[in-house]
Amino acid sequence: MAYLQMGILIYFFMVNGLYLLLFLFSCAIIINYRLVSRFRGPSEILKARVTPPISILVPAYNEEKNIVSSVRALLELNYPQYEVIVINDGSKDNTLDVLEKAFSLRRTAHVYHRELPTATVKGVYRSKVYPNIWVLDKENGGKADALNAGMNFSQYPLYCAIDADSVLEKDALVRVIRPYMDRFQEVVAVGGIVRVANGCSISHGVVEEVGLAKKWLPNFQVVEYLRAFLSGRVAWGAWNGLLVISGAFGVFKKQPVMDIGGYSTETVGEDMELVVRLHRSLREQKRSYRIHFIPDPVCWTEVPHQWRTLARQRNRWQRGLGQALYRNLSMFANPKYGSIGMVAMPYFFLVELLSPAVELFGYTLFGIAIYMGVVYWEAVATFLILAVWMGIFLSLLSVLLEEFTLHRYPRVRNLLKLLFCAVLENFGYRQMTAFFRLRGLYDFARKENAWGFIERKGLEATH
Amino acid sequence: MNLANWQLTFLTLSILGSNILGVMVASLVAILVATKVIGMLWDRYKRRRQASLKSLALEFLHTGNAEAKLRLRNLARVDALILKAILLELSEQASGMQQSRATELYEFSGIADKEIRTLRRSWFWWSRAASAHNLGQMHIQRAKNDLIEALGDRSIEVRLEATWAIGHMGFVDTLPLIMESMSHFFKIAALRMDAFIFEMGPPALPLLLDLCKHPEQEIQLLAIHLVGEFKDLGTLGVLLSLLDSQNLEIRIAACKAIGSIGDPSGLSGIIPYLKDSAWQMRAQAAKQFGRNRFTPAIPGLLKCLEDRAWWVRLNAGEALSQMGNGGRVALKKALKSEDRFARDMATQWLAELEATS
Repeated sequence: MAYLQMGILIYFFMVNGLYLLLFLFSCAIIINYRLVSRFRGPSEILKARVTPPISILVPAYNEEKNIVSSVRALLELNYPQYEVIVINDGSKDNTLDVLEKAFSLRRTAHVYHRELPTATVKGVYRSKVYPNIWVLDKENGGKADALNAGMNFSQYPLYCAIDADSVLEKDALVRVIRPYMDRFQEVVAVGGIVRVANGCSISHGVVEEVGLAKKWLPNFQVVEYLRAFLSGRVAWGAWNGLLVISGAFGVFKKQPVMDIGGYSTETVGEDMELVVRLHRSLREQKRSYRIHFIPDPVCWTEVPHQWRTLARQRNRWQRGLGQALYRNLSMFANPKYGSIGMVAMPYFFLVELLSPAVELFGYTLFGIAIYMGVVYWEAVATFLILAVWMGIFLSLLSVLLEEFTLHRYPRVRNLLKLLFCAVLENFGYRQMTAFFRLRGLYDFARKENAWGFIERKGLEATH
Repeated sequence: MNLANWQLTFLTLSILGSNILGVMVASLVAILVATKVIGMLWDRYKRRRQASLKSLALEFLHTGNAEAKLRLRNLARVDALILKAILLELSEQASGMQQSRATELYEFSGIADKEIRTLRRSWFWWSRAASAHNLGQMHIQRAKNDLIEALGDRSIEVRLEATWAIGHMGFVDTLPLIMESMSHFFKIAALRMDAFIFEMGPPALPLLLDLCKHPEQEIQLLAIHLVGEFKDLGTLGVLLSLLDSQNLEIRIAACKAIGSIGDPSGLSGIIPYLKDSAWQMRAQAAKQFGRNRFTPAIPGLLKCLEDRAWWVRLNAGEALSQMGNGGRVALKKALKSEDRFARDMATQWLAELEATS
């Protein structure tokens, strides 16, 4: 029992030490990024004749509530040349109809070039009003299949994958393209920060005012997203060890993705699986490459506002993580894959995948130990207090980093609310999400592969 | 150490750790509040001082009033910062006499000296980059050598800003140095160079044509791109000769540049490349014909509809759809082709033409 307790304590200090290290590193990167931004404004990239065109892929399954506002937001983007390809993945609702009405679609005789295998494409539509909007109507094959279809159809060398329930900021593409402008040959993918749209005022697909939701649950997720994106991904991106680019927003070079067969249709975490496979393939080819992450806020997405939806989402994320790691298990602790095999994979396995199991196992173990009288309850209580303080500290650091560098919540009231959430989320929310992730881990072990229905309010009604 | 001792030690350490973390959390919140308050106070002071300093600067810029100029000498450090921001802002819209007065004031108030010192000595790249930019924007000609030195700075941002500054002041002779310092950052370099060569104008062209034959591929690519942007017919000879390069990227870049110039004599030279061994080159050539509505290429494009590479067929179809009646007739002819792919592509682009007409 004593060894188990010690093991849990060592794990606790190791994980929190790593978080702190990632945070400190991210701080330096974000500050540097903000400084660079002073010298490279969006207008320069907009005017340039060498800015690469982008195909925006929007897979949509039963998205009648969000799809029009999402596409409208895409039309507002500041970018010299881009096309929007909505892939209606066999929706059972009126997704295609609402698109047809809103953008005056017409059916075209466009040839669908099936370079990556996908489910049958039933029709290709194009907007009469906005010639850069295309809609692929296909049989249901899942999100990965829809993205593969979009890639087959797209005409530009870069593609941006986004979720239909997301809204991109006006300058999102201009910002995300920057690493490609620096080193086009080397960069194969760039991820950007995804932010919580609940509570923001969104009109015609544009975030007009950034705010927080009235409910606590989405606000806890705001803090959680800040922590995950601002400290975790920024640091991993700088070390070229980023294993996940959120499906809600990422820009990829098309050819390397096509070369590895596109998205896998056999996993629920296709976004992470793709990035891990890209690393694997490029390392095996001994190619010099970069997978970047930019800390700018670029994409707003609706997060679950109910516990049961959150449970399903976290369950799916955890299964996706497990599948991505399992399918590329040969990279684990394999020096052939450099820092990815030796650092990133072990981190994601030990910290991201196993942490909910260790956390809940720790609670149970300490409970049993107190009951059996093997440990002093005072020692356990102070340890728990320390753990909570550490959680609060890390969350507060993320909120403060946001405030000092990116400053997306200008109102003092919102800032105070975020600080309060950073404290409050440690009492219940974190434990609940750990439980949902543990269920996900269990389902992964059972090879459960369903996506789960995510109930949405619609982006323009999120506050 | 027995279990009880271990737990007691741990208890003590936990309490200590909790206290330290508590103090750190409180300090973080205090820092946040303090910075907010300092920010507000600075904004208030800046607004107040800006009003008086700006009116003096404007008076000198418009009238050349020496008294206004004298009052802007030996300012306190904070006020000099505010004046610098004002002059940089005013110089964005200023030209002619007003611009030279803004430059004069920048020198007179001692800001230019400080900028040059910062560019030479600062440890921080962002300060050096800002100084390089400001010196260019304010046309401080005597900073030329410092800016040339900054082209070798370890920070790409400083190099980019120095490039911009040199271009803004029109020092054509520095072009080869600039190309060498930035060639490894192709897109961002090309982006800056676009603006740069247009500021310099035609005097930059002979140097660029020399660089089109530079041994380093990156420099060659950058130079070809920039030559294309000039749209000068005199450059077609060099660009056409590059179409036979051993390097595919160079050939594609030359093809694009010829397309950018858009002159029939150059475009005729690309027709044979619709049969190039590399599909990328065939696709690029087709694209340039469509972009320029170059009808003499129609027979070649018609043949390309049967190409084994999908991108070539797509670009050829699109090019034909952009060529008016001649292209439409060719697409209709392709409907009767024995090749299924050619028929598909013709159907697609004819439908597209019908829908958009």
